[in-house]
Amino acid sequence: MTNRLDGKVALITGSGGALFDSEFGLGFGGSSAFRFCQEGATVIVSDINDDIGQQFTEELKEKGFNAHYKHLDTTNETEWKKLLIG
Amino acid sequence: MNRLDGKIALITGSGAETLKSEVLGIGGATVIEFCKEGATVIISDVFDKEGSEFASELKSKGYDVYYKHIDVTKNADWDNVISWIEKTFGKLDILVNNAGISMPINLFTTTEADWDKTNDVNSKGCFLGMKAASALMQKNNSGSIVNISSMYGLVGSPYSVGYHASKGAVRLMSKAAAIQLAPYKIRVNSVCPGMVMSPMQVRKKANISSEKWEEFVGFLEDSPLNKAKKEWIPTSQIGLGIVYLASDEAQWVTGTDLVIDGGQTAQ
Amino acid sequence: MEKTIDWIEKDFGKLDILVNNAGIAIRGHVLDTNESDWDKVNDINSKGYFLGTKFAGKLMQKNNFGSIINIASIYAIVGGTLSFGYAASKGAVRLMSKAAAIQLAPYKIRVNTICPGFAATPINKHYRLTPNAPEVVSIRESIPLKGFIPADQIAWGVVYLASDESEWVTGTDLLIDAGWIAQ
Repeated sequence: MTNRLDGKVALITGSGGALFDSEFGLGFGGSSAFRFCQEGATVIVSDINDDIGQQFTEELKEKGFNAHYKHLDTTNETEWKKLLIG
Repeated sequence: MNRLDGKIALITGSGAETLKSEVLGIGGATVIEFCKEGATVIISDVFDKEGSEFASELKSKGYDVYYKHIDVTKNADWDNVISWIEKTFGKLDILVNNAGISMPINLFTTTEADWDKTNDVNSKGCFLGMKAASALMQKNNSGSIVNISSMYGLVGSPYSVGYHASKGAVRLMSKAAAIQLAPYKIRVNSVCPGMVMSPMQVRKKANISSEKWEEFVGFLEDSPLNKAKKEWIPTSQIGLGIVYLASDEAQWVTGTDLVIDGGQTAQ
Repeated sequence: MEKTIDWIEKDFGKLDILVNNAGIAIRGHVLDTNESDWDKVNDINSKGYFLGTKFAGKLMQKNNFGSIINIASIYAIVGGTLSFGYAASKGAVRLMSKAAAIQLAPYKIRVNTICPGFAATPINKHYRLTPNAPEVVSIRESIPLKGFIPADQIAWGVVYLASDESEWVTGTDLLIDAGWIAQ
């Protein structure tokens, strides 16, 4: 683990669509979440696929990373507001 | 930090300043960032005294650095250093074509000699470097070339037309080289810095009236981030961008421009 | 079992980085694009990024710091035969990033776009399922580095733009496209 993102809090949308051992691998969001974690960030994984998203977040936590899952439909203004500023 | 572990890197125009200088240029700052990431660095310049001193300063800090003379406009200098690199290390992973000059002139005040000099160093030097280095990189089927262009390779300004021409040439020859060297897995990209706090700017500040300086700073405020931060881009920021392009993190990045200009050309 | 978070400002007090990545690809020629396809792709790919930039911007503003990374595409730069609404949505991302970069610069919030080329992601599973299909072969042959880009390479670009290493990079596009646009 290096520290290029130490202390940073990051939200990544569409990052809960696949798992580490998914047949076609991680997408841009999941890969970014993994590298962000490795670089020391606290990562909020978000997606509309809550099942896979939550499972992926658990996989990150099992690796000792600081990851959280939150549902987010990015087309919904109310959801954005609720997730970011309450 | 090990993003460039085991890599052999040649950086031109990187020996004009030493750690005792007020500020390092883009070349010198890049040398430092490369050292921190574990690379073996060959500093090269036409300023042999400063360049050798810079190399020994870094060696005494435990970094693996060497100094070699290269006038980028001279093919023989390139041949000498590239064959020394091949003999010594057996390969070259990274070339940073950074050596460059600029002059405080415009279209009306540019002489033919000014034009030739600027384009010789900035443009022809970049071509000769790519040609010499890629011949060695090709043997290894791997390599990353980073050419320093400028935001003035993207847009116009009140200043030197020869500089704009040369930096535009760097950008497009990088793209052509990227296509032609892709079969050998050699990547070629350019970096377009904006208003950088380089030794050139420090010298300018020292040599002009405070009134002229205010005028110049006003011009710099064209960049949204320069304005917000009330400072110029540190040369280390350009060095860090070059580290990214040189590293395996950018293994699939080729033929493109990394613009580090505080948003100036986004407007 | 640790508790789940409520909202980002309450639990962390700040947001440093937003990666607007959620997107869909609806393929189709302009003459075959219907209104509902257009709306769907532009809602998710374009309006979703606007909303994210707006609310992240509001939170980042309080801290005078932040980096927003918007994932666009090479089809934010050039046209192609196979997509229309998608190209419009990605073009919108690229230019809204530049506008946001200018407007958020006073708060030291940076906004940049990444334009990936043809990537080996779950969304493009046909590149791996049918590597010898004529369509897949012709795409691969059109790429100077002759291969599909691993998702991890995009992740490294995102790390660079998110980190303080790119403190002075804003309003620009990072192309990770294996040289495709350069030709």
